Amino acid sequence: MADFEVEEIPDEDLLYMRVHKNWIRDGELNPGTFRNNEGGMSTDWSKYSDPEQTRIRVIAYDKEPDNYGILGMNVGDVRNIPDQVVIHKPLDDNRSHTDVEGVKETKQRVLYLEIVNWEITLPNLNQE
Amino acid sequence: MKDLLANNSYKRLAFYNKGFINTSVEDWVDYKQDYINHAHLLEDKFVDSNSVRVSITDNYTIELPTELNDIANEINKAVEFLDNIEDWDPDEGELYTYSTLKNASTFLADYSIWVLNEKGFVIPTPKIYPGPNGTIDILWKNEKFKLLVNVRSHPDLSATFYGKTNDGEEFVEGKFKIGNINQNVFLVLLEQYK
Repeated sequence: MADFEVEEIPDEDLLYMRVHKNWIRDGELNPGTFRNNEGGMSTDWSKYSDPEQTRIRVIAYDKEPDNYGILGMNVGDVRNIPDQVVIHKPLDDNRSHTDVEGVKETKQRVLYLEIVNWEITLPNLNQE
Repeated sequence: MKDLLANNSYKRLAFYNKGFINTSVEDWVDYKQDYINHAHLLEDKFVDSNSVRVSITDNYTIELPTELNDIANEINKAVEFLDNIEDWDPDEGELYTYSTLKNASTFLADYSIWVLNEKGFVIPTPKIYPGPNGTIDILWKNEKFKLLVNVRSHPDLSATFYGKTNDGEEFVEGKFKIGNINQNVFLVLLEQYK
């Protein structure tokens, strides 16, 4: 259990999410990137992270940061997608860690495509 | 062309180059399931100069009329992606198999041919992407609408779909079995792009 207090995340804040290059083709975002891993979709809260910090955090998992782009999404927009629940889940080494729980079926994934923006694009990809 | 289509000349074909006897057990099960779900798979081979063919595997080829060349190219990209994938990070989840790609390609080919045959227009070309948990996503995305169809690993498992116009006025949502689709359901969106 992390020592950080669990906080309520306001609608106006942002969540940042890493996207591996696997999920991008011809510069376009693949909706399969919106999926749960161990119960939730892992993101970072903008109060305690910025896009670059989110990107380089993969080094802790022996991953190459250059293989990842960073998406940003408004918390209120996420909550407007059916069945999505934003829960701050700080970790010892990442106070910003936030899970977005709830099913990621075709409906949710189409709606995610409409609310995300690239904060950091992958090198050498013309992302849209 | 319309006559050819009306005569069912264009159908998805399976070329059993190796024959059943020489196939692996896994392939045999696969073919058998295909046969159950799509009895017309074992029809005589048909080759026409006005058609394009895409090989999903050595033993399974899809044939489309040339009007649907862009659809064929997209299916081919999905095959090439799987053929050449070397740096897929397994931590990003399970990648689709050739079997799942056959299901997805079969749906897309059959549906696009049905629309061309029955409705007289070429559907916009979607993108075929890896989906979550080894599934395949077929995504139409343009200035007028988005439509996402998710195809799972076995044809008996329902595919799911959701689509909406970008102005939010129309939407479609549901599930269907591959080969048993209510084909009109997507036309609410696809006809807007004629």
